[in-house]
Amino acid sequence: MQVVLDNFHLMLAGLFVTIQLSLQVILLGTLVGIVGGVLLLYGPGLVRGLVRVYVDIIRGLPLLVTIFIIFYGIPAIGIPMPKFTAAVLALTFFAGAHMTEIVRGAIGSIPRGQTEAGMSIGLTFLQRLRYVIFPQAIRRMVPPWVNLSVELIKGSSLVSLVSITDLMLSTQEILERTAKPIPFYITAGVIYFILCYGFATFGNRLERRFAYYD
Amino acid sequence: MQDTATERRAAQPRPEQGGKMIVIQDLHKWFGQYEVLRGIDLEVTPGEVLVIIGPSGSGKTTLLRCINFLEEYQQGRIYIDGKLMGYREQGGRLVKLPDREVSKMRADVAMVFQLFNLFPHMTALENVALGPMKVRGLSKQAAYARAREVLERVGLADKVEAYPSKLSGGQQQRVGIARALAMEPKIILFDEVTSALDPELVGEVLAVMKQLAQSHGVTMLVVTHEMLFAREVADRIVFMDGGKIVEQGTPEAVFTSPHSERLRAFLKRFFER
Repeated sequence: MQVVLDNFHLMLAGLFVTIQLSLQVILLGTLVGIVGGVLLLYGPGLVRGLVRVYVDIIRGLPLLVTIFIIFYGIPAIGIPMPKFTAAVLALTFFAGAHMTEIVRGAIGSIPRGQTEAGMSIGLTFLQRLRYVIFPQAIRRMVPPWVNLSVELIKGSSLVSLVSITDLMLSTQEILERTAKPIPFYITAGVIYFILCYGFATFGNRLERRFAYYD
Repeated sequence: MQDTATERRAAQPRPEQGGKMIVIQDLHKWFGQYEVLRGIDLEVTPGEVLVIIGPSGSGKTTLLRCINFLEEYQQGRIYIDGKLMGYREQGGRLVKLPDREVSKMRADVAMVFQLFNLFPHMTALENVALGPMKVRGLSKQAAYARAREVLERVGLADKVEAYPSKLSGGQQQRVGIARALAMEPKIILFDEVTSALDPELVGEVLAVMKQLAQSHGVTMLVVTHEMLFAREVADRIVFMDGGKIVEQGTPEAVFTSPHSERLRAFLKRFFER
């Protein structure tokens, strides 16, 4: 136990990286997903095709493979990029693809009658999205969005394999030095659990806030 | 964007339409290979209450939905108060108008739906006030005031803060009518608005519609199976079958002395129930 406390500050530094990474990716991934979802539903044929290809490819790859491809691929084609940015990019690619499907599913599940009612009172396309469709869709998006976000927090641990000092890697560095894996892995697990469970609780509150009487 | 002289001329009420609210010329519509409207010609004068009857599959709902461009049409013309609906003429061909323009026209052609289609995330008041606020540009206060007024008119003054899920079918449909009325449209389309209601709730909705019809303001097009209502309230009845208008006339003419065999068969089936 003492050895854990002695090295805890290093784990905290790694935790800080994990949190930063996760928050950025959740935010960016959500934005990409909203744009992607709307384009997939309402965009011109070519755009829809491109988004579809993007989503299908990324969803067919393990997150680790996506991380490796971006991480080693970007410098290979000559673009200099700091490690952390590459990690954010890779995870956002992943998050965006999944979020696009979440948005598409949520909006697509709104009955056509709602769109028609909006049309019948003269609302434009954007007004319909804003006042009729999106408020209803967002409520349906929250549970899968929370799920995805928790998966991203956990999946962020894979960046330890491209030597980004997140919680996972800092934990591994410590236990390699101290040769005591169990207490450290348990501590890391507890920290991840607190992160994920905390986020899920926040998600529940969010779900309640968006609920309307149904 | 500047309109050309041609477009401006096309936008004026055409002389041959003689001040009609709706003019439909040789309307044809296909769903894929299936022709659902096979040459509809119809004129509706302002303030007229037109009731459309006919067997299911006759195209009456599709006709209604073409009038507010919820469905596109491939051939023919629909003029709403002199303006071509949904398209612009370009060298004799129909070119679809952008969403912005169609939305503007739709504001004047309100619709009441069979399945109500109220916005479930808004109260009755908010449902009714949304159009006036965002499309007619009223201030929030003015829009809400108008919404209250209209909801009172349909007998729901005490339900303004209720969400649709807390309302009965008849009440929801009356909110739907209020939502249409609040837009102060030129035309209201009623698409089988009582067909999904329990029988004991139909009366309250028909009562509201009867009141509307008798106030002689807005042009009403009603697709319905309620024959007694049609007989009592319509200025003119149109009988459709197989995508065409088979017969039309005053309620007396159509119900007591139908000319066509198909109309006679249809009415017989109805009144034999």
